[in-house]
Amino acid sequence: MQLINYRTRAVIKREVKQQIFSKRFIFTTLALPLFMLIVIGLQFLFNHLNDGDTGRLYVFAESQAVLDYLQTEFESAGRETIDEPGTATAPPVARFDLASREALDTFVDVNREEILRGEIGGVLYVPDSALQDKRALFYSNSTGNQILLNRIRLMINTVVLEAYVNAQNLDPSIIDFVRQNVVIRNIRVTDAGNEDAGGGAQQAVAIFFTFLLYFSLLIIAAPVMGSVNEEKVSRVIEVVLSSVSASELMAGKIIGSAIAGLAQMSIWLLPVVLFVSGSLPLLMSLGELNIQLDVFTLLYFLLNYLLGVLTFLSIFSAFGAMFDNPQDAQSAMFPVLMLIVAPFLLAFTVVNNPASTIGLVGSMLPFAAILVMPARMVLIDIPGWQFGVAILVNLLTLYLVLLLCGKIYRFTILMTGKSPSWKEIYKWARYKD
Amino acid sequence: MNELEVRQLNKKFAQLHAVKDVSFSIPEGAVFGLIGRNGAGKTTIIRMIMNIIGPDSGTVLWNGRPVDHQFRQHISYLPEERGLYKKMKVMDVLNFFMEIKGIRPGTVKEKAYQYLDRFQLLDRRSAKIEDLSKGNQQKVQFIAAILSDPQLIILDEPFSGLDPVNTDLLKEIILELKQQGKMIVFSTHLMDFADRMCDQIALVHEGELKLNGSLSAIKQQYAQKNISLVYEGDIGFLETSPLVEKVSDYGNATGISVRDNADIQAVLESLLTHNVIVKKFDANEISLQEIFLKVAGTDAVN
Repeated sequence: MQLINYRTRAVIKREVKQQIFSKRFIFTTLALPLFMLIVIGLQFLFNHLNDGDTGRLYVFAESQAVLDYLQTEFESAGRETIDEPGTATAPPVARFDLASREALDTFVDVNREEILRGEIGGVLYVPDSALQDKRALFYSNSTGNQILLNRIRLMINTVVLEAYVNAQNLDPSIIDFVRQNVVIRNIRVTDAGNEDAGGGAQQAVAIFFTFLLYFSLLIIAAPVMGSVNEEKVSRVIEVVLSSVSASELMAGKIIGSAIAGLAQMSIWLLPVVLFVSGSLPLLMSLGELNIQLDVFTLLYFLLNYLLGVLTFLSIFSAFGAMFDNPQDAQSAMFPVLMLIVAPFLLAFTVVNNPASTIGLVGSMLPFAAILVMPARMVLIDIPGWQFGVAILVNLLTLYLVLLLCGKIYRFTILMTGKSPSWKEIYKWARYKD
Repeated sequence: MNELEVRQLNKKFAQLHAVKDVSFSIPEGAVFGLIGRNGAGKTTIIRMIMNIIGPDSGTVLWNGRPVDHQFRQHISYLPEERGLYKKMKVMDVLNFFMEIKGIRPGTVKEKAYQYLDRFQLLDRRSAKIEDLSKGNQQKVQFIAAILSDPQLIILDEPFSGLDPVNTDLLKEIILELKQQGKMIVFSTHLMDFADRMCDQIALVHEGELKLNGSLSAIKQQYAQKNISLVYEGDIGFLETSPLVEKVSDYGNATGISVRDNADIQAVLESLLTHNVIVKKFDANEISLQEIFLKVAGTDAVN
């Protein structure tokens, strides 16, 4: 008997339609990227709020020379953000001025209210003595803003260094050298050669992949349990089975859901593909993100996802068939969920240390390979045989799961009465058709 | 000429011997009643006919050949516990059930509209199933069952939950289908309906076939030496009467078995002499319910 025929196709068609037009599908397809954008956006926002919070600074110096140095440094630090993301962005300054120590005290006294209210974020005073002892003063309503203090500390240090080097009448190239900040270039060693890896971008991709797999397995695979169970509980199954065999129905449901899952995954991946291929210049300017994703990685990711979602769809179908009410099915779901959650957590340890042994083993273990390998492969170079083993393990897992769950499904879909025990499930799995 | 033959079906579930050596056949154009109490094995027999589950032994033959997958194209099933995809729209459900029979929905659209119209559901064709009343859902399911023009229609308690108007409509359509030569199988434990609708019956009790054949022939066989009586008064004296073998109270009527057909008139006479008011006295008449109770025991009918 051919498994894919007009009956199966009809079931697939219905399943795809049901999935794709469900509120859950539409919502999650849109919400997940939105959710990720919001998370990233919030981080940006918080970073900027940090600056805004500090209020405007008043920068005073005892001598014109120091004041000039400070002004130059603050202005240049303000321009350096694009080249060195995340480093010293100069806080906004309201006024640069000359002041003696007494004038400073008067200024603080007069403006005490504004400082307390935070309208004046801080008053920085760099006396000439700082050129010798590197000591400056900072007045503000709190002492807790370490980020701001660190930035200012770096800048003053640069100023002092510059003033010192200038005083030595050295070559301007030496001054330039002294001004230069240290830049660490992060290089990933791969088989094909060495590639620049922009600050944490690969890790972000690995986390992104892990989340996509995790969410999609939950969003696409888990609800099939409910839908199979609903067919059983509402007795639709009796009518459908008078036309379609149980195997055809199960195959149709699984294939239909997998198609919907692939569609969703493709929608999610689209921005990434556009981003990597440079078709999204707008996003490129967000930061210096250098992401390495080749066609092979994307294809492997999709194939891996397909095998994974088919595996879990089979398992959830069998669970839906086993129980004659949704509550029992729900409560029996926990061990199956662990098969998704445990590899999900494992994938995160792999993100932190992709070269670890646990990562190596996890990326080739049944079930774990589905979530661990994609995260691992974007972080380190993986020899071809490991992909081979992972795919083989995934295929074998799928085959065994289909064999087992297919039997359980066929055997239990029409069975009503008490919930089965694990012993009975084992017994069903061993039955010959 | 279509014919369905069930030959020595056996099915065991663990310790339960659900169907024991059941054989019967259904000719074309027959309204066939598969009757029996709850749990008698009716559904298991139906599932084996539809090839949903395989028998341990025995065969189901359609026109002399064992049923296979293609056979499912020719049958329709309306289960007792109604089930439809609740989130789907009426027409989508009908289309889906056609597609799994290998029928292009476009080819039966007009027929679907006609049936929907007859059941006064045409204006609700775009409504979701869950928004329909239970009775209306049942009608949609019935339409889904007959729309594919099946040769064999299996209806499990089709009238339960329908109001009298819709019950009549359903009967009318079933009779139309019968006239078209379709084979109709009723699975029911309601003897009243089986009595009025079926011309052939198979009575299953505890997995065994107890009776099989044309209803009139079976009735003739059981009606011998039987009186169906409706009365007012006291008939206690009949219990000890030498003429009477057994008195059975069926609620709306009393069945009296006599020892000899010739004694029937004498029983009527003695009823009159004992001042019993006779409202109905049917000699050699028996309802299917009475037969059912005789065969399947008196405890718990309906």
